[in-house]
Amino acid sequence: METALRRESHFKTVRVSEQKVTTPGEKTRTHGFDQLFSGDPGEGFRVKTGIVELDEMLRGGFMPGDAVMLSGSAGTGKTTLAIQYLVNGVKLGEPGIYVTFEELPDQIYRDAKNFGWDLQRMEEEDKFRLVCTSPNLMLEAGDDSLLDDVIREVQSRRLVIDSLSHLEMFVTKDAMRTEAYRLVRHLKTRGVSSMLLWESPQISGAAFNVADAGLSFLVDCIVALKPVEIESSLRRALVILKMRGSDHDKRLREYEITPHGVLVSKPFSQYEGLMSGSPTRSMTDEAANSWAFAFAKNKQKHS
Amino acid sequence: MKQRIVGPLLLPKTNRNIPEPDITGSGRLPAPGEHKPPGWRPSLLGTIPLPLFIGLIAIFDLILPPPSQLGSGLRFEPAYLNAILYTVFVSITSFFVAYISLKSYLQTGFTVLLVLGSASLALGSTSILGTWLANLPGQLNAGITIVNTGGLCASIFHLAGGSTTSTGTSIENAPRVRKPLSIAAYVGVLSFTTLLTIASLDGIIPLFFVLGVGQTPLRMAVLGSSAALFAVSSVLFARLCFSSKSDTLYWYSLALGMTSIGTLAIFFGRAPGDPISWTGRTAQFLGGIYFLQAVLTAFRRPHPTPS
Repeated sequence: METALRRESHFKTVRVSEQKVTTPGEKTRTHGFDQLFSGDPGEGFRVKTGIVELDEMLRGGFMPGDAVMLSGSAGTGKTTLAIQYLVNGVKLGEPGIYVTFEELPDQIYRDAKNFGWDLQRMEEEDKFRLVCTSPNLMLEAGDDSLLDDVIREVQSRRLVIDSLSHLEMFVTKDAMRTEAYRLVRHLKTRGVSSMLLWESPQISGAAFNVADAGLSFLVDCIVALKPVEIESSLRRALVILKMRGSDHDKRLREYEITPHGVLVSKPFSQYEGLMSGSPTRSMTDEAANSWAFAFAKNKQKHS
Repeated sequence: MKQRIVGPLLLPKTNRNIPEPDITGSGRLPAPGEHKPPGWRPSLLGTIPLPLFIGLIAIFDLILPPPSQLGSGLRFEPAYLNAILYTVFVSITSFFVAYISLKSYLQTGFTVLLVLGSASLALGSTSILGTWLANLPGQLNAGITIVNTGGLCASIFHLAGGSTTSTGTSIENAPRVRKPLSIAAYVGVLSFTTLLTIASLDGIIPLFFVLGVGQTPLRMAVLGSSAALFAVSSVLFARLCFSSKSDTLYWYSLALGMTSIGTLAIFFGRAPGDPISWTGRTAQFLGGIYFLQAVLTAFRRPHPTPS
């Protein structure tokens, strides 16, 4: 009883339409493992992010039902990319759920609206759910996941957890792996493609640090976002570190957070040492740059 | 068994490793007047050969007899030597310049870089083709035609590049057109070289050189124009290098100057292999070394990225 009360007070599903709660028997779609292994490539053969260049990097999108880790330090745009993934999923007819442990609903609605994404309208249309909860409640629920009701309600195909790093505050490192494994397994059995956000501890330095908590082997795909310093400017790099069962683009590509969301652009072909956070240009590129400066630019500089 | 945090709420492990800015030691701000930019001191050694070669050409022109009276003892022209030297000192160095210009054009999109790259490619490709062809029996005129016409073409490109750089009117191409434009330019230059070679071998182009008689007025016009255009380009880049204090431009302008003197020497030459010819050739080879030096300065002294 006490647990139920706490769940009610902490676990907030925004716009839960009680009239439309469905039971597993009332499913209108194939679900869970049935869908994953039905052999019907149809709409779900690849889970498209809706970001054309990122889908190209993923050779069409994520594998259906895969657990994807989106790793990056503060300010790299993890939340933006994750919401964009869900919004684009809705556009492609795949309802999504956004579970957040840190931000309040109004804040998320407002931020999303700045990118032109009306999450509230999507909720009214039962294509999206925003779940604000605390990690400990999620951990308490065990296998009887708090998310099940919401997943059934909107027939969700995509789910984002923002962020897995918050779980780390409540459990030990060993228990963290167990909890993460339980969560990933739980979502997979329900046929949900999950995106788990992971906050890397540093904004500079050599490591992406996704392996610290021993989580990298639990997930099927790791997309890392990395701030890099290039000529005293902070730019952002995106790389797919791992993708089980599929080829993928191994190059680091630049991305920007635009008023319309994340925009992935060309690879950083002229730089070396991007993973260190302080890349340098190759010697020839530096020389070519210097050559251009001498002939084409310095007149403008000195005029 | 899950473990719970007890006691005061711990800060998350995230974001705790952000380094604080270093305000001591090397990171401190310089005191007013403390920072003095290093002065620009170009190597004056590179300029010495310029008057030296001009003097030598003048002396040889005064003392050497006309072509019809030039004895074989005054000619030194072993087979393939000239071709080898041109390949090493003119063609290869020109290809380096063409490569770095292409790369920097693709990076920045400034058309002047493509023009300079085309100039170097024209000089390099015609030099290598012409000098090797000249060694074939009966093809001396064809070889000379190719080398001299290529030189004129390169001097026109250099003048265009020099005037554009001096006026700062270089157009910046959009990234999507850079690759096709550069391919068109370089393929165009190589096509020109090929056509020129075919036309020279077929005898379509009027004679440039007649063995035993000397050079024709056409060749003199071509060489004279090339020398003048190289000289003007050299002055344009020299002016710019002193205002911008650029080592790259300094060596580039000297290279053009040496090429101009070399071309001028051939203009006054009596026959291939005579002392004036070798003076001019040496000047051109030194010009090639200066081109290479210009490229090396770009490798050694990186400039900030053009904004």
